[in-house]
Amino acid sequence: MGEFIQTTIGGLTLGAQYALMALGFSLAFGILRVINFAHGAFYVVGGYLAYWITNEVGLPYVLGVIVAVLGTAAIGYVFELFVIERRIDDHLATIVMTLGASLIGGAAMLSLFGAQAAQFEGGLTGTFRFGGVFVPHARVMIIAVAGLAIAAVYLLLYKTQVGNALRALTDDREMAVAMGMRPKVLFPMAFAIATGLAGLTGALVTPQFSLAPFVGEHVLMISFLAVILGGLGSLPGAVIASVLVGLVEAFVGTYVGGSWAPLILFTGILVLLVARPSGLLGHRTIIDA
Amino acid sequence: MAESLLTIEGLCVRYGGIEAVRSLDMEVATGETVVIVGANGAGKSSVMNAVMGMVPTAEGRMTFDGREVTSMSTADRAKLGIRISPEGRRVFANLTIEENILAGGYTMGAKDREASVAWLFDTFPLLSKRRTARAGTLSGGQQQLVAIARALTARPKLLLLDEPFLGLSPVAIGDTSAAISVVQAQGMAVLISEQMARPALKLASRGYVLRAGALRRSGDVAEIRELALSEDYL
Amino acid sequence: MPKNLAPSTTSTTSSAVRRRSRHVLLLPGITLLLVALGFFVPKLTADPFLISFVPTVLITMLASMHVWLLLRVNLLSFASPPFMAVGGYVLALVATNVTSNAIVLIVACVVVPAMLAIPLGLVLLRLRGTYFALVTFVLAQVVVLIVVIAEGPLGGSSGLSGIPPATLGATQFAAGGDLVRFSVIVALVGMALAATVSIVWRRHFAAIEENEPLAASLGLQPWRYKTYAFVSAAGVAGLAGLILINQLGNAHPDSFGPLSAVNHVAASVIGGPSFLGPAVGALILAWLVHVFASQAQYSQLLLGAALILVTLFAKRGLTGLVVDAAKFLARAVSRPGPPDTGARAEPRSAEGDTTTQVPNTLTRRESVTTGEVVLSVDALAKRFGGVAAVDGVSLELRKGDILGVIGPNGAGKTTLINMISGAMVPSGGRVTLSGKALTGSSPQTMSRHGIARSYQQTSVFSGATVRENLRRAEAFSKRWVSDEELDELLRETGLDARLDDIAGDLPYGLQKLLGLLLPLATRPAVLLLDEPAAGLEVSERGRIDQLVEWAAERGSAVLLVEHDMDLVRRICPRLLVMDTGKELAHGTPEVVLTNPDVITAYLGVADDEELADIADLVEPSVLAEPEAGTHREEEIHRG
Repeated sequence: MGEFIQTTIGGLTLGAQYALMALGFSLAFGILRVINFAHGAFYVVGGYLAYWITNEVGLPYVLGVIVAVLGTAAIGYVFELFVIERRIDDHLATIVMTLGASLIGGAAMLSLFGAQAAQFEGGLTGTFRFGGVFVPHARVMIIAVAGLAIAAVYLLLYKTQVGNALRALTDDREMAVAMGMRPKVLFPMAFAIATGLAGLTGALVTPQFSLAPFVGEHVLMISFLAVILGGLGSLPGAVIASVLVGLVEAFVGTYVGGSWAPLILFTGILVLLVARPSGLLGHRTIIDA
Repeated sequence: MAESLLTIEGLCVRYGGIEAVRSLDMEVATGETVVIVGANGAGKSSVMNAVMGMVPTAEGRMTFDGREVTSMSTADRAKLGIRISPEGRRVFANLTIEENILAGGYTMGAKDREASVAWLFDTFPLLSKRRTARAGTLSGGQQQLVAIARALTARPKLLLLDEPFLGLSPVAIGDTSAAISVVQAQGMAVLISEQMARPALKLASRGYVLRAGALRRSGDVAEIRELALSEDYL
Repeated sequence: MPKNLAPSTTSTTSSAVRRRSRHVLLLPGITLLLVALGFFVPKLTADPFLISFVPTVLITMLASMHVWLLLRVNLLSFASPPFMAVGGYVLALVATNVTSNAIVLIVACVVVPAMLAIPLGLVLLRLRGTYFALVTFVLAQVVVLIVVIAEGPLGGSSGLSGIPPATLGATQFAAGGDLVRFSVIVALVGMALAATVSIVWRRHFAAIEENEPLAASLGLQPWRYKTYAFVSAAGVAGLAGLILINQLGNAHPDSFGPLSAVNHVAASVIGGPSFLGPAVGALILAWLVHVFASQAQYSQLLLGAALILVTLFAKRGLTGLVVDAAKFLARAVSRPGPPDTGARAEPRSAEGDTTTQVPNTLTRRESVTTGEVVLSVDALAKRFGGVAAVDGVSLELRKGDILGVIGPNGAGKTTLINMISGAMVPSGGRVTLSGKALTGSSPQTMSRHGIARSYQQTSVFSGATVRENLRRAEAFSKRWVSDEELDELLRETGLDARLDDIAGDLPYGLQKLLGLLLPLATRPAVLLLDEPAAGLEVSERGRIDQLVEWAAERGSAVLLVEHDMDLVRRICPRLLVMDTGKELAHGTPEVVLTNPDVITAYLGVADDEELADIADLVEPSVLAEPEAGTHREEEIHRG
């Protein structure tokens, strides 16, 4: 029983972490229809920015997180405005260009910080203990931030005029412009929020996991899983799917064996695509009519 | 006639090799309702889109509210007070009715926008009842009302209505006509382009007849009606 | 064009259209020759650089060839590593347990990945472009995970080692010149495979890449050719895995990480869509890696920048740049005058117009009331969200019949055509062709049963010549006109003089006519024409009369959606008027066009006094209105 509870809590914290990882990816896809292959690279850049501020400059961890968010958001803004925006209608082109950005991001971190995993000292230490169940403080913070970030993105998209405009632009760009909306201002901003979220995730999660130039690959994979499972472009779908992925990973890890978890998940996704191509919650079909 | 709000001189619109509008002169005065009639393909939509800036002006000049707008961007024109309810309605299908109407007031301050939305829901109780419905699920007539309401949120000086009766049932045409009367009562200038001349002519004071992209006739409604219904128009 | 064209000239035109290109088998032939030569080349120098560099380039080239082949059908694949893994592990298992015979290994490393690609393709090829890319990426991960799990047979995460090298007779392709030679031979086999596929089905691939809906409406089955591309691309990637594992001597899951696909995509994009693209891209990539061997970050940095720059500024990659530069130079050298593109844009000459403007000499056909009902449409309906675009329309068409469908904008006419032609799935109702239920079938199925359509906007393969457009239509369709008939059609449209012009460079009117000619030349049982006259000059519209007449004479049942009332009255014995998705009236033009309901549909509700005038206001010429061809959409609903 104790093991079951520990596994459930482990799965939920993992799921919250994954939801945070997938959030920015899902946002970029939902609003700009861009599959951001550089999402993992932004995560890594965010991690290194926080690491640099905290461990090399020696400022407080909180400042490191803030710099990570602002830095990745700024890079995302510039990248959208000068690169993606020029080919926004060509989905294959945007994939290739974000791939390019991902290579550049990884290479930049490699040349600045080396290939060795960084010893990221910082963040929170200590553990909560309830009976036989242990939960590290850092995990609790990640869950809290994930919850806040999800709520903030939801409020932004559904309760503000800017969010309304972003969704209108996604629906019919030309008509949205005729209402006075400016995609050249709003789209870079949306992409900046998406990459800023990736940076935030990197700053928060890398001290717990590991920080090396190419750990972003895992984050990218998780994001793919979450959006495919949750239905492409569906924000609630991505969140629920992330938690599900975390739970599956925890339970399979505890009761079956660690290396089976990803296989079951990925194969499950392939099967799901055959059975229910729009994802668990998605209503947009992803199959050609 | 009151002072001129929109002046078009020698407008040409081209797509690839086709000339959709040929050297058109046109005028809309403040608070006036003007109708452009003509058959399918006569170039009516091209004129509307050119005024909104959604297609480029190949030749000619356009002034609005005393300012030259010929090469101004669509968003800037929107800011000056031009709004369009486009052909085919083109509501934001994944947004609710309320969000569509809010989106129309994007350029306004929050307070004005809220007031405007409240006024619109008062004016169109039909929309108020279903304000949280996704616009894509509405019928054609309801979507037309949403498109008009969305264009009204910002209380534009000039409202462009491109084929507002297109594909609508007689009842929906009545509802739409009523909505347009509301606009007129607000003192906004309205430019309607319509193939279905009769209900449009009832709303307007002056009109233009387009044929094959060129101006065939302009005058008051009685003259246009006579031409439209008797000579070469359907 | 003059009607008294000499018969000899006539047949030359059509045989020119049908001229088969003889070089279809040339490229694979050359490759086979090269493969054979590969065995006889004197031993390469023992230059250690070449010994490691050449196989590396070849592996990247074959993997990029995988990406390249699928890009030819508009799909971006990250599945090169998983299929390389399949090839690599097949080599490991076969060489260890069965035989190290090179020929057996090569065959196995092509066939096994290709066989696996068939069921996978059935699932993945249903997905749209971006989702296909995402899922192939996931597939790459799945394969690595399977290898890791399968500790017994595949060695798990520690891999398989001690794999014997490929052999042929006494020769061991293990190291030095032998290894290089073997790698070259395998690469040539892969290239031959890719070349064969991309040449044999070049029309199909190019058509899918340029205009898939048009190709499908002419009878091409996109999924079929995408499957061919996917299966052969899997085989090519398998060969890349073969070279890699043969070179390494051990198989390890790390060699097939999903991210290595990024390099293959990069090489393919940077190289460009030419057949040499993957080779050029792979060379550049391998060279970068070699130059920055000790500082991998710089090669990666350059690669990332190159990806972005090529996508932004050189859509056709480096090979495209070279071709463009060569063309530019050739033009600059040979012709100091203006380029020849100017002549193409010139409108048609006046003499062409005068000979074809003969609408009044044709008499309208009688309505066909007997004979076989070819097309029967029963209560067809289509809803978009809350909008009923078509709401229970029924009609019947007999052999040789012409039915005009008119109605105000947004009445649902194009949606009706889209449903009958298979471009949209109806929400209700039935479509039956000669007794066969076809409701909701795909465009290619409709086309194969003899339903052809034209589009409101121009729809041609705009990057190909007129001649190539015709060849593609002929290749995709099960039926085709005779040479004489094709010549007649080409003459009537004035396209006979433009056979070698690029379709996209033709004036609008000729593009539109070509778009009509393609479905017409498939000799359809049912021909659906969506506003054929829209955008044509008045002088060009007489050609529509002749084309429709031509089709009806040969037994096609024609459904014509049109706004030009003069044209409709000239050629349609029967009219169906639609309004708000429903049938409003049905009958001869004279009756239908004086129907007060019809006039109301166009003009709106009349006052009583106006209604009184209606009876005398509709004269035959009243309903004429030339189109200037605006870019309007018939659809009520976008998307």
